[in-house]
Amino acid sequence: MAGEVGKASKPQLRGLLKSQIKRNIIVIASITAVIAVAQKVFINDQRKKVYAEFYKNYDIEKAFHQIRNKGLFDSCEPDN
Amino acid sequence: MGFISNRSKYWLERVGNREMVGYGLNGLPMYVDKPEFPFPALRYKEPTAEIHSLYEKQKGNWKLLTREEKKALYRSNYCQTFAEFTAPTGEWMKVVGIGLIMCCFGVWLFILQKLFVYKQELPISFKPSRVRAQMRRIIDLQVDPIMGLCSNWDYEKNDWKVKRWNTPPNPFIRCPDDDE
Repeated sequence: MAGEVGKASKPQLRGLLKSQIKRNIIVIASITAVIAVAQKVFINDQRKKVYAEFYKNYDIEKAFHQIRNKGLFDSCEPDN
Repeated sequence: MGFISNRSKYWLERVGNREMVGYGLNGLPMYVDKPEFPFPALRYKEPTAEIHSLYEKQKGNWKLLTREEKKALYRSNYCQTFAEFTAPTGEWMKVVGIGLIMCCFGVWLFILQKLFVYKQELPISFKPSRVRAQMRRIIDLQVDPIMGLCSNWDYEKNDWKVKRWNTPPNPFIRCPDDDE
């Protein structure tokens, strides 16, 4: 054939499924870790903050009387 | 020769004159082009005198074979080249077409249902004035005040906090068709 070629490295001949499984597990574990951290930071913590903000200054008695005075409850009457 | 199964007998009847050159796929005396296992049990074509002379020449230095002789040797041993039998068949177009036709059947069912099953006259609670009344009741009850519908409603201003493309108009504004 034409010219000299450099010495090629020997390809992996045995244990191909084992190395494929190892590589798959590492890739999947890293992707899962990244997604889990992102979910915690961007979704879960955000939601907890919104709930905390709402309940900081929430007066449930005032809300109850507001809804009652519009006549929307069946078991209590409005004030007038 | 020992026990020959019916499947092997079937393929043996079709061998004819051809030479067996290996174990083949699972031991059957069959010729098949497979990219995963390209070592069929038989040569493809029946032997002739010219091919035999080429086989003799092949036992020597391969650099003395011309390109035409190499091609003749390949075609006598194999039916198609790798490029030929792994070429795309275009079968995906058939599959996509039949899938879309099935989707069309589903759409037809939907249309016939709207025409023949549901009443053409909608119930009274679908009228816009009734829908606005229901919206007012939902806002008064403070449904989903943290992350849902009423979290977007400003109770001091009596209007939506942020108006997007999908927020309904303000239901507390009086409209001419607000009947009893």
